[in-house]
Amino acid sequence: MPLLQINSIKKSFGGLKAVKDVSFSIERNEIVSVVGPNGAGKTTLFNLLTGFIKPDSGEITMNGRRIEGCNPETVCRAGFVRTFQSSRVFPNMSVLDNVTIGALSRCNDVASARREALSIFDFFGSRLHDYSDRAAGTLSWANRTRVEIARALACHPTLIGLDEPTAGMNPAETNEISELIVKLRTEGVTVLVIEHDMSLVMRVSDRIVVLHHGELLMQGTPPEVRGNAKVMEAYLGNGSSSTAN
Amino acid sequence: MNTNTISTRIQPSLQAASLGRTVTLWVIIVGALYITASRLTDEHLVDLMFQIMLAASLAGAWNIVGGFGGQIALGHAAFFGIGAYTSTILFQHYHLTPWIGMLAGALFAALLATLIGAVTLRLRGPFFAMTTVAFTELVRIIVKNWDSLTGGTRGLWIPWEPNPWNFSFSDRNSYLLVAVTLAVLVFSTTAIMAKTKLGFLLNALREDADAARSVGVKATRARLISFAISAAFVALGGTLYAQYSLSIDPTSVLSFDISIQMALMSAVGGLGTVIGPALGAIAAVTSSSLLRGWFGGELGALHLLLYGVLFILVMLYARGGLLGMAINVKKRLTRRFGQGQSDV
Repeated sequence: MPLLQINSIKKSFGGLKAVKDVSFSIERNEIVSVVGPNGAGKTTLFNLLTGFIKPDSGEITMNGRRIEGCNPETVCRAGFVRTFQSSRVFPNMSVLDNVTIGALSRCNDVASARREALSIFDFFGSRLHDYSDRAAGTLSWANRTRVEIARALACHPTLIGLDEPTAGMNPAETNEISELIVKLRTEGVTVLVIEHDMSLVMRVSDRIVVLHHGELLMQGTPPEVRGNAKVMEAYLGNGSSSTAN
Repeated sequence: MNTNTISTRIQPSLQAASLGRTVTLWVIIVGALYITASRLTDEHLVDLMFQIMLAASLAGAWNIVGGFGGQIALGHAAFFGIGAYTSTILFQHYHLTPWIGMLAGALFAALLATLIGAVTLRLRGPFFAMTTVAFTELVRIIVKNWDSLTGGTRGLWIPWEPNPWNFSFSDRNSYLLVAVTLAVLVFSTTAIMAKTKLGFLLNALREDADAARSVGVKATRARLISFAISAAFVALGGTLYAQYSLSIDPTSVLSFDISIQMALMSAVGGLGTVIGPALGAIAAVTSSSLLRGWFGGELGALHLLLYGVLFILVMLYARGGLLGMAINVKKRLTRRFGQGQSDV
C-alpha cells in the first residue's frame, strides 16, 4: 500500500479549474517531486494535500487514513507535515522556540519539547545549535529553511512536503539544501518536493510528477521526464515544437 | 554533537536559576502591594491605587487574547458589563452574595466568549475586531431594553450596607485589597502561561497562524481557551467595579471606550509581555488623574487627547511599548559601560 494515495482530486475557483482530476501516489521512503510551469496548479495541489483548502471531489489517503477535507493540524497528526514557499518561520521567536512549537504537537510540557527540539538540531550539524537563541527572522534564507525543516521534523512526520525549498537561494545554498533532502530519506522520512527549479529536481528525485494546466502531464524517473517531448513543450511553449510560427 | 551535550546540560540549570530569581522578585512585589494597600490612608491615593489595580487587571486580561494571541479584540467591555450586571442582578433578585455572583459572572462570560469565539476566532484581523465590537453593541442593546431585569438606561444601584459577606466594606482599603488580589491572579496566570504550552502556542499563532497549524497547533482550541480565560478575568473586574462604585448603567460598564482603553493600555505598556499591561495601566491612570487634578473640570477631555498622543508616539517610536523601551535603554547602558555580561 502506498504511503500517500491521491485519487482524482479536483478543485476549481469560480470558473477556473485549478486542479482537474489528478491522481498519483507516493511510496514509503521515496523522494517525489511535483513540477510544472507557473500556474500549473502545484501550489493548489499542495494546499489540497495539506488541508489548507478543501477539494471539490476526490480522495486522499495517508497511511490508510482518509485525509481529504481534514484541517492542517489533523493532517500533521496523520504524519504529513509541510513547509512553505519563502520560509515562514515565526520571525520574532528564537530558533529553539520555533522548533519547540513543532515538538509541542507531541509533548505536553515545554521542558520536554525543548529537549526534543535540541535533539532535532543534531540533524543539521552545528548550523542550528549556533543560532539557537537568535530570532529566526534574522537568519539567512538557507538557515530559515533549515529552521522550517527542523520545526517540521520535530512533529516526527512520515512524509514531509517542501514547497519550493530553494526559492531565492544561490547555487551553494541550493546544493546544501539538496544534500539535506537526500539526508532526510536516510532518516526514514519520505519527501515530496514542489519545485520549479528543474536542476534541483533532477538531482534529488526518484520520481517526478509533471503538472500542466491543472492536469497530470506525465510521471517518471528524471531521465524519462527529461526526454519527454510533451514536458519540453509545456515548459518552453508551443513554438518550440511546432513550425507553424 | 559536542555542542548539544553542553547546551542540554547547561540550559536546565540556567533556567532554574532565572526562574528562582523571577519567583523571588514576584513574591517581593506582591508582598509590597498588599502592605501598601492595607497601610495607605490618604483616600485619594487609595482610590488612585484601586483604579490602577483594576485597570492593570483588565489590560492584563486583554493582553492574553490581544498580546499573546495577536487577536485584536475590541469588545471586552461586553465581558466587563456581563460581570457587573450578573453579580448585581443575582444579588438584587436572589440575594446571592456578590462573591458567588462574581464567579457566576466570570463563568457566564467565559461561556459566552467560547460561543462567540467559536464563530469569530476563525476570522482574521479587522473582521474579528469588527465582530467583537458588534457583540458588545448587541449586549448593550439587550441590557438597555430589558428594563425589568437591568433597569434599562437608568441602570442599577447597589445599596451600601457594609458587610464583608456581601462584598461591601466600610473602608476603601478592603476594596483595594480585593483589587490587588485580582491583579495578582491575572499577572500570575499570564506569567505561568508565558512559560507553558498554551503561551507558546498562542505566540506561534500570532506570528504565523498557517505555519503554526501546519506543525499541528490546534488553532481554534488554543484561541478559545485564551478567549475564555481573558473574558472571565474581565468579568471579575466588572463585579469589582460595580461593588466599588455602587451603581452601574450601560454607559459606565458597556461602552466601546472601555474596550479601547484595555487594548491601548496593553499596547502602550508592551503587547504580549507579562508586565507590560501593568506599566501601561500605571501610565494611563496616573497621567489622566494628574491632568484632571491640574486642569480641573475645565478641560475635561484633555487627558484623553494627551493619552492619544502618547499612544501614537509609542506606536511610531517604540513598538515594544514602555517595557520594550526600558529594555532597549538597559541594553544600551550595558553596552556603554560594558559589564562584561551579555544577556542578549
